[in-house]
Order: sequence, then structure tokens, then C-alpha cells
Amino acid sequence: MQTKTTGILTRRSLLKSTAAASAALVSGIGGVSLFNVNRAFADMMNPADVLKSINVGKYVKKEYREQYKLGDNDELWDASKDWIRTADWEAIRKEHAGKTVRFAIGAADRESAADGLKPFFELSGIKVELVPIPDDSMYDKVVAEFLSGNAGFDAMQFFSPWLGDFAAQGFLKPLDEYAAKWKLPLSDFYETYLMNYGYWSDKGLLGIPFDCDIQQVHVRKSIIKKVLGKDADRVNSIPTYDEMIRLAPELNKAEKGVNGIGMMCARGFWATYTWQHIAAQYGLELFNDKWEPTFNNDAGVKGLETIVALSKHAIEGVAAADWPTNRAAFLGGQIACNISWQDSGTQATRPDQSKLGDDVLTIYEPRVEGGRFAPPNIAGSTSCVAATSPEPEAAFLMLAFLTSGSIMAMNEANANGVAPGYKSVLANEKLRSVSQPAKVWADDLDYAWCAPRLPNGFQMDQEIGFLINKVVVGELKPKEALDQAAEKVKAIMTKNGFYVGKDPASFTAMSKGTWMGAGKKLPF
Amino acid sequence: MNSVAMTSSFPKRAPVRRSPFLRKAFPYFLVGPAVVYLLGITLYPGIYAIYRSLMTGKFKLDYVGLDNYRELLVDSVFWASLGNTMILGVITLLSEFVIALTLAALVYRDPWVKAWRILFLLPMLFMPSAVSFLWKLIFNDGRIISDLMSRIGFNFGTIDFMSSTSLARLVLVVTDVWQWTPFLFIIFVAALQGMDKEVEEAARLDGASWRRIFFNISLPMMRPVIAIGLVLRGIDIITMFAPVHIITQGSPGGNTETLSYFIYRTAFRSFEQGYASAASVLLLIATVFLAQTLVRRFFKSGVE
Repeated sequence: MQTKTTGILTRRSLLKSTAAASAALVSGIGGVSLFNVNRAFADMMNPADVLKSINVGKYVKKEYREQYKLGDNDELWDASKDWIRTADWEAIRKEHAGKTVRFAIGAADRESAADGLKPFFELSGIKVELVPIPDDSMYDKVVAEFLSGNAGFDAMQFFSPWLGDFAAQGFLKPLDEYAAKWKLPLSDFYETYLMNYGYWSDKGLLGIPFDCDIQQVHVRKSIIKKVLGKDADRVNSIPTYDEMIRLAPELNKAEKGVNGIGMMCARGFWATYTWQHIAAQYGLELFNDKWEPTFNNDAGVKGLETIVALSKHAIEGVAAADWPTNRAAFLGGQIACNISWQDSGTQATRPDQSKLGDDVLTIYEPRVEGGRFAPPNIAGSTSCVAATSPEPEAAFLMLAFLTSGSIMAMNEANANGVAPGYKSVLANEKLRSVSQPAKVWADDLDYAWCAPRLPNGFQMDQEIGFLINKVVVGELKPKEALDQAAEKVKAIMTKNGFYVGKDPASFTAMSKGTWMGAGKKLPF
Repeated sequence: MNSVAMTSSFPKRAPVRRSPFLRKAFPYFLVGPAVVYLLGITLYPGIYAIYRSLMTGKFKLDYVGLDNYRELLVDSVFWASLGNTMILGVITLLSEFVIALTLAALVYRDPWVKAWRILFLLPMLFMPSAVSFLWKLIFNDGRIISDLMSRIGFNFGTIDFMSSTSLARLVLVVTDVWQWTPFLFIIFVAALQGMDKEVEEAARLDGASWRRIFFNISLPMMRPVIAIGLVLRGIDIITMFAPVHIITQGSPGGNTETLSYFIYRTAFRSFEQGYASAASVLLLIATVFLAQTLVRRFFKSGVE
């Protein structure tokens, strides 16, 4: 058969030439991209140089370095337990360079996170894209993304009381395998954080503790001296809550413009957390082994009665005081004795954040007669990998970097409220010199109390807090309020399908993390 | 070249004949984009809220029919928040109305009226959240009111505005009145200035006092304007959120929790979206009902 030619281009020649061009293009693109990856790999900085640059001189604010006479290379951590300094970055690069992970983060933290993650890219070759989400809608957005079955992020950091909600639904990727493979120093975390921000029920490790909070009692040294006639002491100045109640009126009138007691009793979870803090000392257990609420017992009531007694000598507005209000009042010098998170004790010493300076001391948790030493690990945040993530291992590595000991230690030195949960960090003498509460905080953590992270736990905290607020303003009696709160909690559990052969979580697994002090002697 | 020359030099264009369908549809094409946009931002969220109000659950939505509404109607916290909204609304609206009308009556014939208008407009220009922080500082955090009172001889010590229901409500009322009285003031001044001076003049010549002129002539003539002003402010007050969120968070004991704040905390603190949606549907119905009643009752021409 004769092939009919029409000009230069025949049908066959067109097919041949386009096929050849396509093949060349495909191999060309592949070659170029492989070449680029190799080149990028070759161009990456030496990990040792990057690690050297993650130091106090670069990360800690200049005024704080000067205030505490910190050298650029002072170590506020233990290098042998600092994950970024022990990780095998060459191996990480080999497996993960060129990958991209998306990290959901509160919109307000976007810029600081972006800066903080630059060295991670230099070390690993993993690119991080931040997905900023407004803090107020974090929960809903994260849930919506999870429910879509294809979350738009690989990792996220969130308020730890939500852990139960996300874990129970299977939204989170278990991290045990990665933690073992990349030697995450799990044993360096305080158990209270590991068991409540990391492990969940019997589902293994689902999160890496991020912001490791604890509530403490901070006092003004000058006012304590004025009232007691001797220097403030971490153990003996306010040894018990009864003593705090006795001292409160005196603290209240010790200095013009300064009130005796500060605490957070605003409606909702703020009031709940203050109540849990104090009631934990009386032996508060929130649930029995059938997950029925038991907090309306004697310990719960005594905790609430203590709040009522203290509120009589508290700063005005205590019934509407949330964390920002309480923090501003304490750092502004309006409170003599404050029940709050540990960061108030650190921030109080920073001249750009507070007028207190050296006039602050974080004391050991006051004890109660017949009670127990149970400093409360309350709130905080954790970091997790989404179960749907296409790059879970790379996402895990990014979180391991962000939560590494040295990074967290420098957060603490910056008094930015993001707290380390590592034994090696809080035991570091240099860290203790820049973080006034660290010594007591470290001792406290071995005895810490913590509420189990149950599904809908945050909703329960809210409901309990509404009723506690009514007690603080005198509308309800403590027992009455807690009975009503127990009913509300039971209703929430029932509505979510529990008590009918289905538990919210394994009681055996969860109860281990609720109090770390069992059988231990006091640390002082 | 004159226009006659122009028309003669160019052939007249034959009119474009559109099909009857296109002729009818053309106006709809013009307004279509705007309608779609408006429906997108108003109707869709409204319909979605109604749909959500019939569902329950966070992770898996279950249809529950009218259960959320039934639960709401026996929820004492919901009714309390409705009651708080009404109490705060009535006190705030009355205060704003009286102050705005008094100020407007005092200045509308003043040669400096333009300056007054600018001065009184200022509070409205601030963000509601900033104003709330300001008043929180004045009443609570900064103790400025307590300090001022002790300086003028009323030494009550530091007043705890947040532990007393009436004081906490007072703080919210003051915050709203300070920011939004100017809105009514501007409307009232404009209404008074727009009235026929001759009517006023004639009454004065007949020997009427300023009080009779104001209450018997000016005020009745202003009725439609007052109705519109009150409806607009009323809707705003019913949905009052920023001061409650920033200053009291519903304290003490939920006695300053408005319906808007109840909806917010149910949706974004307790994550009960279905329940919150049901409450917002009820709030919408209440707002429409109130607005309609007010307008029907008062929107009659003053001249009539």
C-alpha cells in the first residue's frame, strides 16, 4: 500500500515525533528533578553547623540574656537527652528530604513557628507549610478536616483536654513505632505529661507533649515578710490551705492597692481548673471505675469551700477572672498570693512583662489535713499527627524537633508561656537560674494530679465551671453545685453513648496518670 | 459639525431585535450576580443553621427532629439568658433613647451643631472590642471608678463590679450606652433639623412653651425616625456579644449572659453546634418578631 504524503508531515511521522518528544520530556523532567533533589541534598548545610546555631545567643531575647548573664552557648538543657542533638539527621535526610508536611497551628503563633521551623528544614530537608487556624475555631476546623477523611494538614498542636475527643474517634496516628525508630527520649518526659498528653487509654502513644503546664502558688516576698515578719520560704510560708485562708485578710491589707488572693473563677473551665487544683489536695477523684462522677464527694466540696473562703479576700473581679485578667493583675502588682499557672511565676521576673522583678517566689503546693500532695497538671497542649497524613513519619519528625529539650528550654527562658516537660531541662541549674518556679515545678511533677482526657471532657469542664461560678458569687452552696454538676456530667456521658456497655476509655490505663504521687514521700 | 449634519451623515442603526425571552430575562441577568451573592452570604448560612438545628453530634450527625428546640424550651439557662438579654436590652435602649433625645433637643438649633455631631460620633468609631476592654479597665482591672469615687468622698474601698449582678449589668449598660448613644443622637438631630421650622415658629407665636413645642409637635413628627432608630439599636442590643465576652463572660453566675453569648459558648466552648443552631434560629425569630412589632406600632407618619 502506498503511503500518501501531504507535505513534510505524515500521520506516522507525527506520531513518531510526538512519541519521541514525550519520552524525551518525561525522562528529561525526571532527570532534572532527580538532579535537583541530589543537588539540594548536596547543598544542605552540615547538621552540626545548624545545631550549633540553635543556641541561646540566637533564640533567647537579648534583654533576658543580659538580665541573667547568659552566654550565647550556655546550655539550659542536657545535650545528651536533647533529641535534635542526638537524632541521626543524615538518616532522616536520606529518607525524608524533599517531603512537605502541613502543620495546623493557631493563627497567632504562625510567625514564631515559621521562624522556629527554619532550622528544621536545614537539618532534615523536610519543608513545613503552616496552616494557620484562628484559635477560637481550632476545634471545629480540626474536626471538620478530620471528618472530611482527608485532613488538609499532617500534624497539629492543640489544647490537651481535647485529646480524648480526637483520640477516641481514631483521628490520630499512633506514634510508638516512629518514637522507637528515631529514639524520642520518652523516658525524659515527666510521667504526668507522657501519660496525659502522649498516651491515651490503651491506644498507645498518640501525641508528643508540647506546652507542659502546671498550676502553682506564687507569692510576693515583700508582702509575706511584712505579714509573717520573716523571709518568704517555699515550704513553710504558706504550708496549708487553712493557713492561706488565715493569712488572706492580712495579705489583703498589707499594702495599699494589693489584694490578698488571686485565682481564676470566671465561668466555665477557668473556675473548674481552680477547683480541681485545690480539691486535688483533698484527694479529689473525678470518676469511679465505672466512669460515674464522684467529684461531688467530700474532697470536691472541701475544695470548693476553700475557694469560697479565699474569695472573700480575693482581688475584685475574681468571679470574672480568666487567665489573662488574673495574669495582668498579678504581674501588675495587685495580688499578694496567686494561684495560677507556672508561667506567671517566670514572667513576673521579666521587667518587660511585669513590675514584680525579684519580688516573687513560687512555693510548694500548700497541703491539707488528711489530704495528699498533688500539684495539678492542668490544661497544656499536645502535638499529634493526623491518621490521614500521607507523610506521618515526616510530620512526627517535625513535632519531635519542635518539642525537643533545647527548643523548649529556650521557650522557658523567653518566658513565652510554652513550658518544657523534660526532667533533664527542669533539673538544669542554668535553666533554674532563669526560671524562678523551675525547682518547685520539677519537684511537683513527680506528684502531679491530672484529670483524665475523656471524650467531651472539655464540655464537662465547662458545665462544672458554670456551677462553681455560682458558688463563688453566693448563688449556690458547694454541695448543691457539685451534685448538679455531677448530674450534668452524667448526662453528657449518657448522651455520648457511654454507660451502656461502652466506656469512654480504659479506666485501668487512664487512672494510672491521674496522680503520680502514690506511695512517695514529700519532696521537702 | 452640528447635530443635524451628524445625523444626516451616518445611516441610522437599525434597532437590535431581542427575542421576547431575552427582553424579559435581561433585568434578571443584571440583578442575578447581586442576588446570588446575597443569597450566598445570608440565605445559605440561615438554611444551614436550620438544617444543623435538627441534628446532633460532633463527629457523626444524627437527625433528631425538633429535639434541640424541645430541650431548649425547658433549658433554664437558655431562658435565663433570654431574660438577661431583655433586662439589659430594655435598660440600655431606654437610656440611649433618653440621652440621645435630650442631647439632640439641646443642640439641634445650636450654631455649633456640626461640631457636636463630630464630637458625639467619636465613640462609634472605635471597635466594640476595644471599647469593651477600655470599660473593663475603667471599672475592674484599673480600679479607676473605685479610685475616683474615693477621691470625691465616697470611700467604699475597691468595688467588686463583677460579683454583683446589678453592678456587672451596669458595666455592660454603660459600655453600650457610651458607644451607641451617638448613633441615635445623629439620627435624632437629623430628624429635628429636617422638620419644618414654620410649624415650630407658628406654635411659638401662639405662645406655646418650648416643652409643649417639643413634646406635642417635634416628638410626634419624629415618630417614624425614632421607630427606625430604636429598631436598629434594639436588634443590635438583642445580639449584644462583645462587651459580655470581654468584660463579664456571663459572670456573676450567668446573670449577664445574653442570648448571643449563650449561643457562642454552646457552639464554641461546649461544641454543641446543633443546640446552638436551634438557639440562633429562635433568636432570629424573636428579632424579626420584635422588629416587625415595633415598626408596625410606631412607623406612622408624624404629620398623619
